[in-house]
Amino acid sequence: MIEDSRRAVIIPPSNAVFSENYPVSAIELRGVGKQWGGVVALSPSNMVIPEASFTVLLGPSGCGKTTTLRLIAGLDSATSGQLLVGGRDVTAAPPAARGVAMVFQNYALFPHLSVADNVVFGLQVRRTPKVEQTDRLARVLALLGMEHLRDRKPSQLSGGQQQRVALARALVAEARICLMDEPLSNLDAQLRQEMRQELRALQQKLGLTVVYVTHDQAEAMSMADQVVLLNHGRIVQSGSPREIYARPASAFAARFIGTPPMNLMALDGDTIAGSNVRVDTSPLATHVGLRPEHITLSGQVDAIVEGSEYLGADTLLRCSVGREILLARVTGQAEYAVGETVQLSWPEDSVHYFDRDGKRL
Amino acid sequence: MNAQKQAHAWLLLLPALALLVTFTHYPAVATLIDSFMSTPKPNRASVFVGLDNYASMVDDPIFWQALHNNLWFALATIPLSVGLALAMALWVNGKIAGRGFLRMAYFTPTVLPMIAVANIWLFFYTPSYGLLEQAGNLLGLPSKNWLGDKATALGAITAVAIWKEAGFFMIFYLAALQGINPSLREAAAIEGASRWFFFRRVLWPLLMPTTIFVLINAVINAFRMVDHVVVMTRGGPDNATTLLLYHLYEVGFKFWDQAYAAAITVVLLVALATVALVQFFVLDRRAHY
Repeated sequence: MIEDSRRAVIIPPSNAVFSENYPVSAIELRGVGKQWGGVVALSPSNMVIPEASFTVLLGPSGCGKTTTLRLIAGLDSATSGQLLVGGRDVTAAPPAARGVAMVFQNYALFPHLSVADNVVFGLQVRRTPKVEQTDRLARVLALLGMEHLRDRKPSQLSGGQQQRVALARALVAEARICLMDEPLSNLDAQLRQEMRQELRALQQKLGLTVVYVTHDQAEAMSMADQVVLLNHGRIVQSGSPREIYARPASAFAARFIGTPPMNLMALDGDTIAGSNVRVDTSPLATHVGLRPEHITLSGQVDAIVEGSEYLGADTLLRCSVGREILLARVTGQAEYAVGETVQLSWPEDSVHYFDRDGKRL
Repeated sequence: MNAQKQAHAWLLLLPALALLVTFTHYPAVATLIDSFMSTPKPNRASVFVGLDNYASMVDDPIFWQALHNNLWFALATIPLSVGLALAMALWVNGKIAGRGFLRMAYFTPTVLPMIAVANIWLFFYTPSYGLLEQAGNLLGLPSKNWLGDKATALGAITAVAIWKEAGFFMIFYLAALQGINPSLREAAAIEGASRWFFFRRVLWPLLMPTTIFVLINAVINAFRMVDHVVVMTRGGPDNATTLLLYHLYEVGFKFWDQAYAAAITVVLLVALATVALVQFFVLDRRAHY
């Protein structure tokens, strides 16, 4: 039930129905779209982001995820549709009137101000009393473990520390909604890993509604309550990470989520192209999809080893079946020579079918 | 080996060094020495006269008048041209129609030679058929001789200098503004900062290095610009528009009192160097680079 209430609800614009019994939404997009001249950055989309959820907008570059975030923030204005924050129509409201905080990709720290001054910048704008400023500053610096850095300038901080300052500046506003535009993309891999867990823990601790933009599917999978997958300015699929992984709505979603990605093999009638391996499917299917980890090395499907990649715990085996290539994730000890014939099998219910438009069947 | 390196280094430095010494350092030192000597005459060689030249400077009413004029000229041109430059840069940095054209238009005065500019302005100020006069006639204002009146001549000269300089300084401000990360503005917008708050707390401090650079240039220019004085007024009427450098030129090359001119030059150089150093060290400490 809890899982369900946290799911982003996507309804196609044509038959948009918004009934009373949706969970409390922090942010709601009703047919929101953005065009730059003739270029469509985001085609009219509907999206409901529930309160206290971690929602990730995921997609390749140019898919419209950052545009969506900027529309929510009010940094760009939508060319169509209606945007609600906390049930209030903010489509035409300036950024500051929307009650959102934001962490920018390049952090956008004021280079001439100390960490403390950067963090309280917004409080100074809003003329929060001095005592309260000091109090909130101390609290947020303690929360992020940065008390010792308060008098440093941004140029004297490491990338990770700058990232924390940007986060502190967003948190000190005590907005219920925090927007993040690829906040970890400028950090090294190790730090990124740590910050993922920290961000997620922080979001849950504070009960924040986070909208998080990334192109890194691993980041999305590990942090999100729900993932909204975009491509070419359209929402492709949304749901919990498990849901999208288990039932990708399209060939694009299937390939984009998961490392290594799902194997997609073209069909020739009801056999895998160039082979005599029959699959059980409707005549509409043109491709079958198979996750590498569902393939086992015992069965009836003949495949020829084309190469292998040793990853420690696992080995990725590149095999050809007919004209198609597939990756199989097998145990790390497995050693196969190139050209060797292996027998593969997979459970019937792990096969995904896609039609000629890439839609799931 | 080391000696060869040294020789190489000196050889590479030589061309620039020769030019600098010939045209900058030697003249400066020579001027300082000349200011303690008398002016050489055909029948009498130059002799050491100590501080005589400086003493006559103190007694020279035109020197004081020129200094006075120049201080007012500087006091008006420096803040106004820098302020105008900043305002124009902020404006043409925004997303407005015809931005490229505006930028070019603002920069044009800098490209035009001062002599030409001065002649154009001379026409503006001319009594009876000048541009200002014609505009004044339309509004029914009384006729005015802007350059001929002691009360307005210095102001008229000052206006030309501001017009000439603002576009030049604007380019520096514009370059600095373009270098500022645009997401800073967005970060401030999310917090609800007004334009003024953003300018005061973010833009102005970040523009400080540019401001220092522009200010030093403005100060130097305020004491260096005389081309338009030569064309428009020749220091008149009644020395109302005589600036220090123009006085210096008259003393040195019209009255041929070179020793005295050298003394004025030394005073001018020392004053400028002091101002520049003060600006550099005092403002520099407050600037963020």
